[in-house]
Amino acid sequence: MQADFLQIQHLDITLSGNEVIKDMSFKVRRNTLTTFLGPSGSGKTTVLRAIAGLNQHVNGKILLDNQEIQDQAANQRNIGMVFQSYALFPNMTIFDNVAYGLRVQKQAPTEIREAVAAMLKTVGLTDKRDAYPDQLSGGQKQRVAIARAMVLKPKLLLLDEPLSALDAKIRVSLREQIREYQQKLGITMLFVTHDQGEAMAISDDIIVMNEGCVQQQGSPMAIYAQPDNVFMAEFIGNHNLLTGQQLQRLGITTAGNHPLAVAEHYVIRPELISQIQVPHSVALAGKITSLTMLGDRVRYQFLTDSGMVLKVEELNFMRPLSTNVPLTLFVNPLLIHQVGTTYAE
Amino acid sequence: MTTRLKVFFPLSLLVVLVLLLPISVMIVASFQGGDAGFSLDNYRQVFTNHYYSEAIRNSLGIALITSVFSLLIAIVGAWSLTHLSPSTKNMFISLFNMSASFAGVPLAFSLIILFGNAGIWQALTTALHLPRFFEIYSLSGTTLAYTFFEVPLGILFLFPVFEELNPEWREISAVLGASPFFFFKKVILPIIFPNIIEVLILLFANAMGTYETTFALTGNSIVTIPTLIGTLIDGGLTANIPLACTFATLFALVMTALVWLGNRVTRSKREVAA
Amino acid sequence: MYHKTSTYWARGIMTALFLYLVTPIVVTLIYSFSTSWVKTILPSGFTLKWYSQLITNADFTSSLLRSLGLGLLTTVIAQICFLPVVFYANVYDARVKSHLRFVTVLPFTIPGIILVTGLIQLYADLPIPKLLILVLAISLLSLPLTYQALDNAFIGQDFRAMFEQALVLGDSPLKAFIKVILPNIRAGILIAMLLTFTSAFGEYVLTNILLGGNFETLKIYMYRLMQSNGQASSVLTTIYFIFLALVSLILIVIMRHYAKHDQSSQKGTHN
Repeated sequence: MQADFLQIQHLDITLSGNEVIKDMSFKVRRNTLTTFLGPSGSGKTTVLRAIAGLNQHVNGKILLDNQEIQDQAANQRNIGMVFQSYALFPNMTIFDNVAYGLRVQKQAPTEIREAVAAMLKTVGLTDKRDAYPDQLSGGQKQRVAIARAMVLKPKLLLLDEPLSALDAKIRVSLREQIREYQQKLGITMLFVTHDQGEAMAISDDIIVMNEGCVQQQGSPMAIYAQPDNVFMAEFIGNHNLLTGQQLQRLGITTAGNHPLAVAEHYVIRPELISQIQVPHSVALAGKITSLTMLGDRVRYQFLTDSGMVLKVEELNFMRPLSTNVPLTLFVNPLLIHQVGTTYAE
Repeated sequence: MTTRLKVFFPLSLLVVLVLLLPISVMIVASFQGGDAGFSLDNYRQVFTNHYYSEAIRNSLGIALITSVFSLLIAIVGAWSLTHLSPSTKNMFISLFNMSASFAGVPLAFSLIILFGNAGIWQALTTALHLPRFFEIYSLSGTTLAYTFFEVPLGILFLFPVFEELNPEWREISAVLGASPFFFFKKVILPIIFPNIIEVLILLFANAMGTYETTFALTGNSIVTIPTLIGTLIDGGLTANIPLACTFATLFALVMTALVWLGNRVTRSKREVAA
Repeated sequence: MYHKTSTYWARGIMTALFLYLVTPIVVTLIYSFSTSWVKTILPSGFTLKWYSQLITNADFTSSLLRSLGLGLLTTVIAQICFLPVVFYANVYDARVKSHLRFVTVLPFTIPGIILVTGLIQLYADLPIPKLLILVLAISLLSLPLTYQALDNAFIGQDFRAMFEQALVLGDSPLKAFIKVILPNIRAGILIAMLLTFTSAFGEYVLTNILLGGNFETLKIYMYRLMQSNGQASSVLTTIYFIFLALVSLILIVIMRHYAKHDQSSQKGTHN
């Protein structure tokens, strides 16, 4: 795997007078599916459009396969793009939609026919060949859009929230299909989403963005378990985010292998607070005040005797902990992760 | 930047050639006296000459009466239109569109056939020994004529506003225990009132600017600002184009201010709502 | 109960409005078929001779041709001026739209009679063909119709994404516009053209004052007939009305076709 197939260096983007992307740099590996994750308005789509060549005012360098492309027009970059709204051409059949780019390249009709047929087979829409977009369901439309981009064998395929307009069930099945196409055809994909679950499920790498900056880049595992800063810890959402001082009140004096720093922030993952005692773990006395059923897991509100509320999660064994009775839970200080003092700039 | 220039070039050229330049020249000309040089003489004439003040009075009177009257009918009409089935609705919208385009010479002619000296109305009233209620060539006749395009126009403007009123609002209001009157006062009126004001202004402006119908119906016997401007331009011996420019400048200024004001009313309301 | 009574009221009111708006037109229609209808309640007889007289009249044919020509030219100019701008506003930069608002109120702030005053003042003595000025000025006054109809054509589809998709797939902007945008706004363009054509075809104020009697269009011919020959004028008025009705009919057909297409596409996305 090439470590720097796509390189973004010191990217600045100004949209209608506002600097929405400030000095952004990151790299994407070849043949991976990398996700851009972030709250809406964080600039994910803007960066994606800049890579595709659809923004007007961009400063910085964009290198694709060691070639500088930031000055090329959108139609010169050999990058595919899939839009949230599918952007199928309603006046053309499915075949003509998928064949569009090949025809622009003036390929021979027989080659076009074969390539489109093969691609329609891959996305399972061979029988919709002569249908028009308005005869297809949302999921089918998005598969056509993906096929239309993939048939050109682009160096890079950009997907801008491709699943956001779809129903929950189709969303899950289509994201798995996208992952499958990516691995089968060996395409490097950059996928924008605001849905954490989606990002965790399909990515090799996740880049979390906020307010025009990269907050953290890493594997889904690292993003979840080792947030780099307070924003990340809060963004992931279900962690307990505590200061050193608060940990001390719980009777905890070390985190990882280090002594606590009072002003630092730390996270304790809720599934790591449990009834099982291991060597060095710290006991927390308190009681369960409420529980929420999550299906495979149960989430508890645990009120410690020192007056703090902690989130605790356990697998659902159909025997939930009783509420409002004294209870002791344990946490291993080695698994407490330090995230930093304040929000990252 | 260059695409932007190319895209806007034809429209800009058109606007400059037949809107900005002529209107600017017109404004400048309105300040020209008899022997060139800057002068307010034209403006003094507009407000002191009896014939001219009659034109202004006529225009304001006709426009005010027709716009208010047509607005009232249009409110009832637009409300009724929302109660019809979609296909009947579309048929009526087409009818209103046609009626609005029928204004001018064809309308004037039709009304003369109907109400003119040799018309059916005349025959009918004579046969039944009724008094002739009004004269089509008069001020009241002209006012009536205007309603034939002002009413459809008002309905076409108001109908989309009425269509947007959500029927669920009335139901929710009823569930919350409000009387229909309370609902009308607190929900419907605040929503449609700014639109009604805006439509009233547009109808008023439209009536003020009507030339074709008035001219075709009355020749120059009823003088309004537009027909006066027409006479001042091509009236042979009495032609006085700088004075026409003065009237036109005043007209454009007042109407722009009015329409702008009407726009503000609805837009500020919308912004508060959003 | 509430619903029922209000529906009856609505129907009654609409019927009254219908009669009120249609009566003058119907009377004119009957008049055009009457041998004579002066100071009587009913016409004395029916005939088609006024129609044959008018249609074979050379003045009628030439004024019709002039109006047609004026309508066509104006339609083309209005499209050239607005199609690129409306496309730009919808695909590149929606903020442009707020600047175009002035266009929609133009007929109210600067109606024909005001505009023609400025045109006369500026162009009366310049060696520019008045006909050219006339065509441009009518185009300007028809812009609100053109603008609104074209802008409506861009509702319902994500044209921006479609256009950008075509660019990413390798097309030039012009080719993308022709292949992807134009075929999908056909109905809107057609409606805009019809509306523009109708308004230019029936133009009176500008033509009459700017060119005096030198360029007799259908409306000006109608006015001349009205002064001299009531029967002929009623025929012309009826023909004009039939023209308007025909245009409305075509508009309805286009919009129905369009709406059907829209509905089926909506059904598709909810599957």
